[in-house]
Amino acid sequence: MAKIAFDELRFVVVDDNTHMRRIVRTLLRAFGSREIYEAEDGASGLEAVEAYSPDILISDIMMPIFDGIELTRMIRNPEGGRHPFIPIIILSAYSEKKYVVEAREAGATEFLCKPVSASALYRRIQNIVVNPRDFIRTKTYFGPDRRRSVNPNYAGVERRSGDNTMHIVDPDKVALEI
Amino acid sequence: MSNMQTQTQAAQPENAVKVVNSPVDLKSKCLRPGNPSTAALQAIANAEQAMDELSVNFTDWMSDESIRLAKARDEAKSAGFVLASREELFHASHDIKGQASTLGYPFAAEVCGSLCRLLEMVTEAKRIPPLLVDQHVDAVRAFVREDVTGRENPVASKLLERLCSVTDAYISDEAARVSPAKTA
Repeated sequence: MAKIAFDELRFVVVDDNTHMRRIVRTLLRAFGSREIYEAEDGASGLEAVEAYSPDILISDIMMPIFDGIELTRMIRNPEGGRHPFIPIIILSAYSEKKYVVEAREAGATEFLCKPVSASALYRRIQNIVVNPRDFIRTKTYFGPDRRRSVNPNYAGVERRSGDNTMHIVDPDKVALEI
Repeated sequence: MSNMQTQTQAAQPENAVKVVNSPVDLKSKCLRPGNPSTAALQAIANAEQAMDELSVNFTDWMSDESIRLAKARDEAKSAGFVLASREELFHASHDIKGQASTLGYPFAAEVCGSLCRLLEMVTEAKRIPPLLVDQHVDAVRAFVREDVTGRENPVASKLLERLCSVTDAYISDEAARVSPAKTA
């Protein structure tokens, strides 16, 4: 049995809306986090990731210069920055499926729709800490394993090499046990 | 490139998938002995308490956001909803859609959700109905001015319902006009 020591976690929050950043910072501080850095667009978000090496990045999608999806792609580019494995939570008012899919294809670890609640944000962070996913590299993708469920009827060829452990987790139902 | 390397690469299927273990280990970094359920409940309760304390600012924040929305509306209308002005209007509306419920104004959030749909789905600038845009923006401003928080206001509820139905009907008509074969 274990609990999360939020004071050990460093966050970068990227959102162009100052009120939204304040809300997320308030929630994280109340969870116990003490190191929270902020950025107001994709470009300064990328700089903040390089400068502060956060444990978790929380980013909006719709932002000037480049958006949260592009930011995710840049971070996940193995030839780009120094932190391609950083867990990324996309926090957006875009709730339509196409944006969730786009974020996933860019390499986001979790997707959380606004309006944000304390409980939903906590569960996403908890899932990241307790149930880390392996990363997948293909010609067109580098990021967390996108398979969140196993089709027991799948009879095709297994296309993956290496360790093939699955982590199938619903963030809203995750239990914090190790 | 040596022959051996070439052969190795040739043996890799085009859609090869490699599983990579992430070096990020947050379990070791931040998991400590303790009751996870109690800790989660306490952390969430602390956060809700902190949001309660922050809520003294929410009316002012919503006022700021609604002023920004009205300004973006004015500029978009005078520019004929051309791309840049329309994007700023969408952005202002999208921000309210995302945060107004957290700030206690769920009706304003949903009105802006409807406005975002209108601006996203009607792609021709000249086909965006200024009156319908005005009605959305004015509704948000009225909700803020009259402090329509929560979901208990029947007039606001009716107004929201009407705005959404008119908007959805307009979007549907536009889709039929643009691609009659697809929607028939």
